[in-house]
Amino acid sequence: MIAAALLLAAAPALLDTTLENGLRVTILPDPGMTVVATQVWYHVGSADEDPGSRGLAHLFEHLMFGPTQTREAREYSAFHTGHGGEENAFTDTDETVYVSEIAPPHHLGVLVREADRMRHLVLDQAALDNERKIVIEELRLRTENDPLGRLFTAAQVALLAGHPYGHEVAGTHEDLDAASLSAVRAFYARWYVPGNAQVVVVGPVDAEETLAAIRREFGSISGGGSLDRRQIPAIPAHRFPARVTLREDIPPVDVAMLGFPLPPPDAPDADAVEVLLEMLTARQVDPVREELVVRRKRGIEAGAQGMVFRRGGALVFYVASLPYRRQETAFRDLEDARLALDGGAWLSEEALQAAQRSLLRKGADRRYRAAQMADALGRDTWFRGDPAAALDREQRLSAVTLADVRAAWERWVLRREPVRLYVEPKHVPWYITAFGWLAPLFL
Amino acid sequence: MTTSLLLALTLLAAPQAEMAPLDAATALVLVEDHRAPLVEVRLEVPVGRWSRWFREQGGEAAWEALLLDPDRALLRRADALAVDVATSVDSRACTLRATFLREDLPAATELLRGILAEHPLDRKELKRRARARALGWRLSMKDPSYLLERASAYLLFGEGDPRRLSYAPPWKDVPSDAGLRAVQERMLAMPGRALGVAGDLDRAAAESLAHALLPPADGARPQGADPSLPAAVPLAERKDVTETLSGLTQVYLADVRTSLPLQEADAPAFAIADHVLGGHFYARLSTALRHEGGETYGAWTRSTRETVETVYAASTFTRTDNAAVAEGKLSQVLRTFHEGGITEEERNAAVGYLRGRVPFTRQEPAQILERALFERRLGVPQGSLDALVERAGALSLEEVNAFIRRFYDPALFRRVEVGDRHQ
Repeated sequence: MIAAALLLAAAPALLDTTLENGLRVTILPDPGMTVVATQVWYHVGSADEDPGSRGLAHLFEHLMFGPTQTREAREYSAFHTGHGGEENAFTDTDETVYVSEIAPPHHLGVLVREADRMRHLVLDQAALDNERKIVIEELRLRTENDPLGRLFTAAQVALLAGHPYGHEVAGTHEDLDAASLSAVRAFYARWYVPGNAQVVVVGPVDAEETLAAIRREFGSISGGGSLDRRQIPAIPAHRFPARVTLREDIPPVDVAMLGFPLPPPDAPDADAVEVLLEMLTARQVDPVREELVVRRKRGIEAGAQGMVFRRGGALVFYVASLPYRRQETAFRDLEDARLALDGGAWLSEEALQAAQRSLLRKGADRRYRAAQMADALGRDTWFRGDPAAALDREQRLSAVTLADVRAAWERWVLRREPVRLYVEPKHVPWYITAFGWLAPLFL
Repeated sequence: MTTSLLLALTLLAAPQAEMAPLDAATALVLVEDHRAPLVEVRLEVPVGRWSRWFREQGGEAAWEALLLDPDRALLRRADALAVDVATSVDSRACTLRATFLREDLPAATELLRGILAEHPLDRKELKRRARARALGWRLSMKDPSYLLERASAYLLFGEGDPRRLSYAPPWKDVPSDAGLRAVQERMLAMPGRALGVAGDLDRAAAESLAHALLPPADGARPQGADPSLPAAVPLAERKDVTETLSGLTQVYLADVRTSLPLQEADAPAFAIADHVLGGHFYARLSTALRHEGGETYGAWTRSTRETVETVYAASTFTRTDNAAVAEGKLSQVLRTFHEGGITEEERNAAVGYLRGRVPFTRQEPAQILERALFERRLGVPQGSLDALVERAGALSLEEVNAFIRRFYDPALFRRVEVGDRHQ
């Protein structure tokens, strides 16, 4: 493809190194960008929490915006805001990431402040108590008072029970209430060390000048000892329950889902799986929806969706229909759709090439935005072990063959026993119960 | 200093939106940028939800039907070409957008011609999509943040006011095929339309694309096509509102009034004041309600950039048993802001923020194109948003505080609440 060649030729040179204290440093200078993205990836997330301390990683993310020995709490934010920048952070199952975007040369000031809070954060009882209240309000907002939030949390807990991913990232009221000052101090000392972190800088920067600044600010911080990190089993190795049924305050539809666990992003066939997801879930004419809603008239909405975490992912087929049908029927519809997809036009040489071109287009689009590139570099370092994987991604995915994709389809979807999740509405109007079975006549 | 110089050079070299008439009824907006082999095309027609003609004629269905022929053949072609194509409708305009690799320009042009040409329509698919949208809306009605916004809009704008439409049940009636086609034809030929092109294409290629795509313009605009908005509900008739959503463990609060239109002389002062009150992590609201007491996770202001009055809200939420505390603080912040204004330090930080945002608006060609089309949609001069920043920078502290005394008078605000504490 001409576009792939052009894209690769235009890729800027990556600087990737590790300081003596173990801090990984990744810099991608791109003079065409107008904003510098700085991200600090700490390789700790909710999967690293012990029972009784659910939500600690996320609570700690909040505490990192507190005061240091030399700076007030608000100074970090004021620095960004005063120069038009943005600062934020997110916690996921496997990582906690601090993100900054700001016009140069202010990114050098960001590095000073990131190093400062990695080394000199002040953790006291008053800050912990206040931040605990804030985090619980966030938990109420996102989970307790949002039907979809409640549903996702309940599904995560039920499906992944016993796996380190099997609890809500935001934690629980009880564990958050129990988080002590000594626990958060121990968390900081253990995880927030250079040896467990990566600094990623992308944008119109001078790579050598930026590296020198990182050495100056971070180089003397003690690297931290052995982390004794818990091994997180790959998702396909987890023993899922055969079926989970949930009830929630949603509009009057039943939703049936088949979930197919997928391998981690560093698995040998991960590229083929990524192309498979593009072919099945990113098309403007969704093959699952076509099969179930248009051709068979078995639901109001249907489709396929993919999700990826560090230790695996999932492909989900779903169908939503009026609540008059039995669970067995809904799951059989989904099973039939899976079989019907085998050999469908979505899995052809033409469809593969289209998916590869689509991935190329999305990859080219990502090159404009410093924040998106920084995220891809950090993610590929942590998920695949190599930041350069973010730069040669399009080339790798273009090399995937139809035989590779077919093998991934057969291995991870066609021949797998899926996980079954069924969601029922709490309230169904009488007329839907009485006459819902007529719905296919109108679909 | 190396990077500082680099930024200055980058901003100087950043692509600009060039707008020129293609014919008497059409503008071509071009953002030429050859960094990546990508092209984005946007056809924008100047009619949207705020138009009575558009609503009466089933404009939303007609515009969505552009992509929906039997068996979704057009979308299948788009998938085969890796062209991302979509239609959208907003208050003032309808847009057809396509993104593709530069080397696919000839095939993408043919696809877009097929979309814009008269073709059979898939009425069943239109109805399927309408049913799915209706479900989504019913789910939104269980979201307290959405209900807070809805109640705020309904408080300020009366029945029949199009500014309520964002919160009304989505459309479901589909006109006849002939009706849909007639509306499509009128929309595509409507004077004032624009073709935007961003990315790896030069002017000659963009003009050639425009001529290949656009049908001849019709000189007349249908009666009732222009946005038609009644006056907001008079202040004396606005009452505090409480909506109940059973089972909530939090109360969601907003103090609301009408917003300041973008073209008003006070718009630069508003940009500064709004930033200080609710525009950042340590703004007045967030400081009082989040950092000093942990009442909430979020406290902020909200408004839409428009040339007409929309909703302006200072919002927060808190656990139900803490509602009175949060209410008190929300009122107190507004009162203190109104009475005392802002400090010189806050003014300087806000101006620094507004100026520092400029590089963020120049990151990619599609973003520069959207900004130019946005200004065009609103009917404000090109470059108005950048000029507003400079005008804000020229304001004295006294001028900003005089505006705050006029705009933030607590008597002009009404309280909206969504929760379950009175059950």
